Amino acid sequence: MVSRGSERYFDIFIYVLLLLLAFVCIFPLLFVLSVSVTPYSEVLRNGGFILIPKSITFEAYKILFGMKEIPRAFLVTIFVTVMSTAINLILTIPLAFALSRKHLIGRGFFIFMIVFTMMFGGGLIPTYLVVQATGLLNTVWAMIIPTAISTWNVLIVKTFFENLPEELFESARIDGAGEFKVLSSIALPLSIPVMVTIGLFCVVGSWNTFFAAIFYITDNDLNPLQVIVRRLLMSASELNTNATDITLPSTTLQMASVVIASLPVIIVYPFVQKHLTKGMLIGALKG
Amino acid sequence: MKLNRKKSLAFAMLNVLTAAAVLAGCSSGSKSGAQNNTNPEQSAEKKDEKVPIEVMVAGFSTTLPEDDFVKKTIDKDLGIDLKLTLTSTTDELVQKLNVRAAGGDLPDVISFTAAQKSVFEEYVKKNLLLELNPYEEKLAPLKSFISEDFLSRTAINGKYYAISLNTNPNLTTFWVRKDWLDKLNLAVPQTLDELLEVSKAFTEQDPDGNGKKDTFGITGRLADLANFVNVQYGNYDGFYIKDGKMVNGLSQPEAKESIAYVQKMLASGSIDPEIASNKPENAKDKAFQGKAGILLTDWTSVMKDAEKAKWQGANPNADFVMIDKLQGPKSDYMAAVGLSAIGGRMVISKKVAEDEVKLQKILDLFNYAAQGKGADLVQFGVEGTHFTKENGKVKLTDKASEASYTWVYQMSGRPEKEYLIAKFPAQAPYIEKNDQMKRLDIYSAYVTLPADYNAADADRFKQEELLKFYLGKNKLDNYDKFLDQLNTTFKYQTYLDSGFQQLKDLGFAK
Repeated sequence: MVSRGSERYFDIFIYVLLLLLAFVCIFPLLFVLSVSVTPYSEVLRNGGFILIPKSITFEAYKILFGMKEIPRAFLVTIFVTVMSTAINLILTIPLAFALSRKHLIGRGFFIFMIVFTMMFGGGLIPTYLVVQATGLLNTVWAMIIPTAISTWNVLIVKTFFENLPEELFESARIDGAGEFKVLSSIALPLSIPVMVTIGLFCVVGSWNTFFAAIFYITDNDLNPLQVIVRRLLMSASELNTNATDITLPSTTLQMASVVIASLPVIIVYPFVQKHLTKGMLIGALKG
Repeated sequence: MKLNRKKSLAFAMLNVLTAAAVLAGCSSGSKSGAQNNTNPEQSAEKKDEKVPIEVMVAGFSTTLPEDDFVKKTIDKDLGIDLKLTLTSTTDELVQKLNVRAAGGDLPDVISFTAAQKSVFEEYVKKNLLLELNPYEEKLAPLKSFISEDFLSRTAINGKYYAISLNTNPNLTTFWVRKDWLDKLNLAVPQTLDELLEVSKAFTEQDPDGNGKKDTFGITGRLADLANFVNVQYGNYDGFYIKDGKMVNGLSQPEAKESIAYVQKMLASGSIDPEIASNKPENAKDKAFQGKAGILLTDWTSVMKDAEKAKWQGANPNADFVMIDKLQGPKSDYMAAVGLSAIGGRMVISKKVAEDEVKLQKILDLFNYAAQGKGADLVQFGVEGTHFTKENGKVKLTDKASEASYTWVYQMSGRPEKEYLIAKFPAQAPYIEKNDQMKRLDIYSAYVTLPADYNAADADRFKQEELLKFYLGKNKLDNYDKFLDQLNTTFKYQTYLDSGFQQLKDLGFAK
């Protein structure tokens, strides 16, 4: 009986802790959201801190979508995200599948060469020179091709494939299936969690494309969303010149830009959460 | 891009067929992506083709509109295809430049801010920038628009690498809540001591009338406050002329006295307790929210229409008064300003010299932005649409906000005061006052740092130690000890000796 009582206290303790944690996570998001829909004068009157908005206005969002950059940047970002994720999956899966087959000739060598790139990279300038030489500079592809394959994702998928029971593949082969058939009809249907996981990694990664755009894009029309948001989030301490000509966007506008830049990703998460936890556990931790 | 490349390839091939002599010059031109125009047979054909020119500027939050009338007008008038590459910060500009320099793909013209002196010098050292001595004649209109010494004042070893732009700094001064003064029946402070009294009253006498002791006096940045007090003692942390002699302010007796004054201010309990860690926007927010009654900043942060709307939105009764004259303990200087202060450096990539037509177009562009229609265009927009002229005086129309982005095209700068007054008619009184604030002339910028002196380390040490003195964490008796350490361990003496010698050689010091 004693143990049941203490179990209850323990449950309560866990719930309180989880609620606290949830609050800590939600708090900054709520703050950003609240400020973005509150008139700026209201924000100032409350000492810059508002958690539950008293009066609501969507003025900031109207201004944002009225700027020609934002809708265009949205399109660029969506294009980059979709293409980048598709290309990543298309390249990662066959490579990982091949590397997961123990009878592959030179498997150790290939894996070593792939892992090597995780430890040593060429650095910024050589990468820039490659992007320049391949004619990608100032095209959307500069934000897609250089990150077309992620070593980390390849290793996750490879480990996942290795953990699938070999017997399944063997029976498929006995029934006359080739490697492609094994991959598409046996391995892939069994690996949805891991596909969702690396797919989401790609989506988030390419949604947040920033550095590639900073270095490879000079055409203002090709800037992705995050670059535009960064421009709006400019703070006064970064303005060391020409302050007379520049009027900084208000906090309200800045927060609204953060909301529209992060909301799509936040919306996607709950739908894939189930697969995500599974994929992470199976793929990464055992590797 | 692709089309251009093909075309330049075709021209390169044409060159091979027609004139073998120009082959060498040509192939290097097309390799770097620039169009080759040295061949006379082609120039006729090239005339209707626009010369592409890329200018890189840190535009901060400024973006170009869909219908960029400035670009269209310039393109038409000069026969060029002007492309402006804007970055969000100056750091981003440098990052972008560095990779592009490595790729041999620098923009044709780069705008460095005044603070980017070291980046500019590095690019000169790496031989990436075009030497402008031969083109001084061709840039003659800039002499009257900018200054006679627009090239020479940023010379490096007698060689010109930058077109320096003028500046007229927006000086930092105190902005006091007028409505609070009125409520407490206080006069606008005339002396530094009175200002401190007002600051105390704002802290203790509940100027916002909410019954709570939740306000304080001065907010801003501690470095600005300490500098202001120092200047009010007739002193500055740098080279200036005192009683006809060149001195360095750090070792003057006034330095210690001004630190003691800062200590006194901080000890009064009426200064923003976070002043040592404030960022400009934090301080501004505190003043706008009615937490602090005295803000140390320049007119743009308080009086621009957008800023005014912010503090009036938070409190419709609020009003700020600008302190443009203040008698300090030893002087009535309000600011210390470098004599050779510039607004920025415009540089041309060395690669451009391979293409004479392009280079000429770039020089044309600078001249264009410095006179008549072009200068008006980049400052105010299109005459008749964005502004009108009455007796030579510019008056903005209600469409002027469409032209608020044109500053990124100000290749040759602008006549600062006239520009600001035309652009901000409502703020003209503050701009006038800013212009008339009494300044102490500083010579530090003329000094080239000696090679064995590590300025970054010495400055860091200096700032850290000074902060300890301001906050009273170190006793002023130790000030001489601090100077000793700075002079010996950090070789500040080397800098001082070299500085005095250089200023003497330049004819400033007696």
